[in-house]
Amino acid sequence: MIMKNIQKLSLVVALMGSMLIPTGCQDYLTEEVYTQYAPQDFLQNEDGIKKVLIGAYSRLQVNGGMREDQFTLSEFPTDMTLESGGQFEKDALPFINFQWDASSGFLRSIWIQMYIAVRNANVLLENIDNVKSIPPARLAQYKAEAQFIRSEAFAHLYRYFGPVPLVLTTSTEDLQPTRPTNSEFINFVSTELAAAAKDLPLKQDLYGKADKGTSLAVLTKFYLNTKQWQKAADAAKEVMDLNKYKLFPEIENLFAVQNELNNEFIYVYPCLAQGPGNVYMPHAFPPNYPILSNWINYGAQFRTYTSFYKTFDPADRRLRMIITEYTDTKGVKQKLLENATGKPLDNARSFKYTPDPSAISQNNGNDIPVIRYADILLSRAEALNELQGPNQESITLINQVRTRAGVMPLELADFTTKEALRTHLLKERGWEFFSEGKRREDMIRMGTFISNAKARGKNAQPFQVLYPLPQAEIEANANLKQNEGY
Amino acid sequence: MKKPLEPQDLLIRIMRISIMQLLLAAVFVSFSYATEVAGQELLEKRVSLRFEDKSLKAILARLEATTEVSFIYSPKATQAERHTSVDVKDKPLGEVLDKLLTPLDIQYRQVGRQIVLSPKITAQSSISPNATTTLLRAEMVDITVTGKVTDENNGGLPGVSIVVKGTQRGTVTNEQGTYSLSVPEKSPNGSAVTLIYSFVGYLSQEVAVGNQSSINITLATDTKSLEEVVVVGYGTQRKSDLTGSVTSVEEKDFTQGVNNSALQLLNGKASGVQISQSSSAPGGGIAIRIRGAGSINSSNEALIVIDGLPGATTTSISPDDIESIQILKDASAAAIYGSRAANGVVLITTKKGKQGAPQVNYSAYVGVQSVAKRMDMLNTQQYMQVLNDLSVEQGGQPKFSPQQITTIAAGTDWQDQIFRKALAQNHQLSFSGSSDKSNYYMGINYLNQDGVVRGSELKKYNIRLNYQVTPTDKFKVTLNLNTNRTTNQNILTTNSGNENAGPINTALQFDPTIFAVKDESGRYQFNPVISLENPLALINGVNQNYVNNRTFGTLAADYTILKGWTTTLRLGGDIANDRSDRYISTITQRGLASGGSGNVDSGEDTHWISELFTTYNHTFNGIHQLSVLGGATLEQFNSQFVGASSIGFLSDATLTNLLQSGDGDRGDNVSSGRSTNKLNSYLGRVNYTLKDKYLLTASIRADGTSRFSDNNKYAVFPSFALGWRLSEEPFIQQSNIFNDLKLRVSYGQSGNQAIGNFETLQTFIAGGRAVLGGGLVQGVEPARIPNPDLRWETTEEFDLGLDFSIVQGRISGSLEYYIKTTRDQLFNKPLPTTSGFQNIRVNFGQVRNQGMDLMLTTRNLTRALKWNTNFTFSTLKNTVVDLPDFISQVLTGGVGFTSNYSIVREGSPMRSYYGYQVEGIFQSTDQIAQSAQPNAKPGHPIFTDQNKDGRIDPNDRVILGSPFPKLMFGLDNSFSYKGFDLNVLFTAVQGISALDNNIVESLYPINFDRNRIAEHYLDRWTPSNPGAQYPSGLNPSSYGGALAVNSLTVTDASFVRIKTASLSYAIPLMNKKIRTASVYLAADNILTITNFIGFDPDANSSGTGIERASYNAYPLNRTIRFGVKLGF
Repeated sequence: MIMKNIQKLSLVVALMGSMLIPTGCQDYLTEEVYTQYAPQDFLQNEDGIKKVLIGAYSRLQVNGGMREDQFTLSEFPTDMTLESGGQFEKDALPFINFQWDASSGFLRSIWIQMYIAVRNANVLLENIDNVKSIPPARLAQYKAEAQFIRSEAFAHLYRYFGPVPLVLTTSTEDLQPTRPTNSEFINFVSTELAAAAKDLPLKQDLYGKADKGTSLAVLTKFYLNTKQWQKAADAAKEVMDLNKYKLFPEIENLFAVQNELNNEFIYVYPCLAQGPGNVYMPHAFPPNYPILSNWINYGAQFRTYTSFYKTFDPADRRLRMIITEYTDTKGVKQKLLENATGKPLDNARSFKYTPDPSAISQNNGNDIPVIRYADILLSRAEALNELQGPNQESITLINQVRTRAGVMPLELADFTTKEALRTHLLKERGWEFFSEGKRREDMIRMGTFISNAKARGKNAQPFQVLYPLPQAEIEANANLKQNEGY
Repeated sequence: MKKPLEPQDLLIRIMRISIMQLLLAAVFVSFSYATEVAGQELLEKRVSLRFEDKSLKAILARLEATTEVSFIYSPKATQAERHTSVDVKDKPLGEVLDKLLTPLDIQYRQVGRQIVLSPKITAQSSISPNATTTLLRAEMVDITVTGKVTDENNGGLPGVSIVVKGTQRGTVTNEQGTYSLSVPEKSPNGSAVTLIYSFVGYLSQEVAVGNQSSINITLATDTKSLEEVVVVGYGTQRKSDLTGSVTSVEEKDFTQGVNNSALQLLNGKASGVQISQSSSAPGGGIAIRIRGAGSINSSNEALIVIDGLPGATTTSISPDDIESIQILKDASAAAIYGSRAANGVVLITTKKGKQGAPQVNYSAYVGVQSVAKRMDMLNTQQYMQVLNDLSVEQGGQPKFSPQQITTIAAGTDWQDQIFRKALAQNHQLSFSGSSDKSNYYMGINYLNQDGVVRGSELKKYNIRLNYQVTPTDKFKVTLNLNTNRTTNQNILTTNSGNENAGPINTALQFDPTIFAVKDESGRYQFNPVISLENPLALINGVNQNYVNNRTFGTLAADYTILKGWTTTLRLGGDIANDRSDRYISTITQRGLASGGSGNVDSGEDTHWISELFTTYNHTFNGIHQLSVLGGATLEQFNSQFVGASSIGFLSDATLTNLLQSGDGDRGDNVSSGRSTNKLNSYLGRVNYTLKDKYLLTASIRADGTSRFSDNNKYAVFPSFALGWRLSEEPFIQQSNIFNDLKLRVSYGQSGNQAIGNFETLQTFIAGGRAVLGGGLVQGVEPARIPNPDLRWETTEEFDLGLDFSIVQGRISGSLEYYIKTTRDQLFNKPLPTTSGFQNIRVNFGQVRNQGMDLMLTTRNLTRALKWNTNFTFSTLKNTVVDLPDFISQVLTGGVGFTSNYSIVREGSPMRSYYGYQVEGIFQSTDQIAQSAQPNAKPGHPIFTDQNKDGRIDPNDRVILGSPFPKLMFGLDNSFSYKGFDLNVLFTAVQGISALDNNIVESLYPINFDRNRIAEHYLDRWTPSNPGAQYPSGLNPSSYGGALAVNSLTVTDASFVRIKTASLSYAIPLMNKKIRTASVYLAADNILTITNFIGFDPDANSSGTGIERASYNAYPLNRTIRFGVKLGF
């Protein structure tokens, strides 16, 4: 009897023991990963490097976020565009009225997006030298693309915040970088862009990737915005001398989907109708505007100031991209410029991005040009004016753009001072680049951003030429100094 | 315009004031009635019986099977093998027993629902009928009866209660167990005088006094009542031995209704347990919160264990198959489930085959559901008038001409268009039985619930098989198997606004001047500036179906190695396959834009568990009871899914059944995923009881999980609890107040491992799709900065409890106090995003929940009319004790276009509502000039300038309310009289707030043409209505935006609800084929009394999350059900 029980007991003990065996070692509890990649395997070949590069490009493209980046941050605080209606109004109002603060989600999201692009570029730059199988030419090109992405991301943030931390490593040892001085920052970004331009090909395999022209164009604008006039003029010349770019003949059709593969766009955020798309038009259609069934008209309305509209020469072909009246779906004729008594309605609509016939709801396929050839021409004209005052080359460059727009060419004799030509250039740039997110930087560069806002009745302060660093960033990084005034 | 006070409003106002008093009054009234003594209704149950020459045992077995009584007897003493005959038809059980047992010299007495048989003992035998007659004629004089009550060991029993049956006259025995009582010679109604001897833990005895002046009796231990067992983790325990906080709800007490989830059965039945229906849609979510919520960033859902299978679901089971539900509330009870127990554990036990003849039960109900409460929006005429007024006051032209207003007539009430009366039906058929070696239970269930919003429906099919076989005395095999198929058709419910909103949102805000008919081109009409889809287009043009097939169960083998030592091997599995389809047709604007869009997601989740544990029970020297449990478990969870979508279909006709007919170029999309996680655990528990008085429980569980790095693979969760059955102590027994009194104190730890996979690993993920070369190209990114030190959230809980029973068990209950602290909260520590990462998971911070739980059961009336009351009451205080130094506060919450409405900060309840206090409405420009809002206009709300800095900015935000109820009540009254049963359940929560985003969208319309809540605009401020409750509505965005989270939009969501009431009638049996038959009529969600404007104060648009927000809630159903129950 006792023996029998002992037998049973040992059976149980054995059974219990067998349960415990797999847990004797911790193999059983090793975490299995099915949907993610182990870094040590992934970055060992060229294909992995290419995928990381694509990850970096994706963050540089501000297509879905255009209404925040190109409009709210870059046009609403200016004399061109305002917004009303929809839930977007509450987010747009602080920027229209110069009442933004560091808690704005828009500032934080562009900050994060650009630093993720920087991180992804850094992953590539830190690991690419371990991959021995890449031929030297391609190796140099990949590096140059990563350098371009990283420095363009920095340049993008510089327009909003001034010098921002130059993070050049993926190491997580020091997560609290400091801000460089302005000259350190400028020096780094311009050096990197110039270096990248050297190794980038004239033409890329895939449309949307950075090539030599892209890097030089970004460099031109960076020099221009940091008022390095000679360098800006030279870089613009380099772009022109690539003989790759020229003005598209019909400005009013330049932004249509069917014309997006043209010789004028140098740097674009490409868009697709299935998304990420160009979401501008749903904000531009006025109420009850007859739209196609696959389009959508948002409650949030992006409107053009009547005063801005009135600065145009009536013959200007660029004016054709702004609508001032329409017949709504109920057959009622609506006027957008002024009411019956002549009171400005500030309600004209920029239809610059010709609606995409195959748009899917809010997503239009129209690529968003970041820099186009007209900008390079006007940038060189501006830089030369700043260097020498009114000069024939500047006038000629401006006239290229004017001629295309169907307006009378300028005469050198019309401009007696540098300031006069500068003033005209600001106007010309407004006519040429409305709805392209350039107005804020142009006005800041030419010194009218604050004064113009004050003239419009806004309580604008000089420090507002820079946005505040995102509050969450200041809180997370004790070494980060907030911009003055905030 | 001031809305006239309607009678209903008046009622509500009165009720608001008095509901608390009412609740309390009801409880105390019930006490005052609680004085009469037990009746014999059981013995009046009518039975028919015919046996010829059968053993007494067999006859009793048949009686047990047909009458729900159970007999307790010693077969030897009663000579139960004796054969006898009986033939009665529709006679009370008492009479039948007399007829049956008297010839056999067997006496019986009733104890609860049990009848104890014993051979007649001459000395104490009942008085013969003749003697009774004699007594009746005698005069009413008091005689004194003395005697001694002893236990089975012949010791005197002190504290035994002796009551003259039918009166309040009585006494208790002294320390020696002796007593003296003066009793009337005959009782008031003329029957024989009977004394009832009762004492907790012993079977009561009734003795007819007759002409005796000395009665000595021996009370037998009531082993049944002492051993009422409840299921606890990995075993069962005698209720009297429990040291932790365990609430047990039996089938008869389940909350009735159209229940899809087993959790709904607990509504209002367990103190400290909040059951809320986050969506009333068929198949909508049910949230359970046991003693508040401890985790800021992880799940706060309780662990569900069905027949030993942890991680089961409460929806893939038929509520009718459930026998009892135990809620392990405190950490000492739950700690045996370790790292998943921090939010409490719900143990569900399904039915088994009962001893006796095979039973077939059928029950069914059919219910008609209607919308319990609509949102009172402006009607068409009001809408046109209000919009005209607003237009003119804002300096514009009237929007509608008088002619338009007259011609439009009633316009369209869009709520009418989407709501409907809907049917619900439920059928349950079960078979059960038992033989010597096996027992079985089989349940078949069908539930079909149409939703009160068109286009929503739930169908559920469930089959359960529980089978237990004992091939030998020592070996037992148990199979519990459940298979379920659920199909659920849903309306579009979403927290998005504008064009992406669902039909409920649009039905509230859509233009009422538009007619609910299609236009010439066959399309639903819409207002182009309203940015909302036509509600009917959303109902008819969005097709969403969800199918879930789930099979789960356990197979257990128990082997008894030695007496008292059993080992169990239990294997469990849970396999769920689901598929959800969504098609947005070109009837909708959105569908038209994309040419129809369809997607299908399908997945499989499996869970396997293998457990081996052993238990040993032994009593040493008669006073030391020891029970030891030890075991080990292995578990694995697997999850896989695949999804596909397309747009631009050839035709809407194929819905999601032909995705390849979509436009392959633009919109095809595929996705898939797979993950596993594993657990390995060791567990142990010791229960020790000394002299049935002093109780000790200690348990421990060590859990290891694959989700954590090698640094923290295992964590240990201990618990300790002590109990003291004071009612076993002589000094309590002498006081003669308590029938039962137990003090218990416990401490335990449990964990929450509810974090994602891979958080401790560095990996790369598919992320960032760039548009290159005219198409999307997938890129790769690093996933995170891993934290190898990540560990469990740990909850420590201290619980002090008192279980009591007084007045012969007529009043019983428990009172508990607990403090529960959850530390090592899983937090996303914000990183400087210059790193390219936004945050890293770390452990930090503490949340405390403390409160009191009271449960009270009173048997107020116990004679022919019976009245029982169950009362649950609990208080809760949730406090964020400690936040990381790197996060001073967390602003969170997002619903519609409203965000950051709740805050986590030290000293306040977790996720409190945070916004601006509105203190009134500006009346004059002078008032404005002196205020902190210089740009305001008369009629705009006055926000409180909390910091008195002369301006209204984010620093003026304050806590506006808590998402946790301060108090919760459940009050359940049941009455029964002669086959009729009436049951009424009230539930209430108090001190809870909610943000109502429909109020936000009414006070701050997204565009001018949207409809609004009537109350807001019929009582809006105008110069002629300066006393208005609501602002003017002119340029609302100037006092909206971030200011929209304010005390107008965050409102009290307390409510009192008559949850369910039912009246049932047991039909007297007409023939022998039907064992029992009853019919009932019930109503659910009869009345809700609340200040809350929205559909349902209980609803939560964030699903089962903590931060409650109401937004487009699926409306609550009021249901009238008619049901039958038949037993064969």
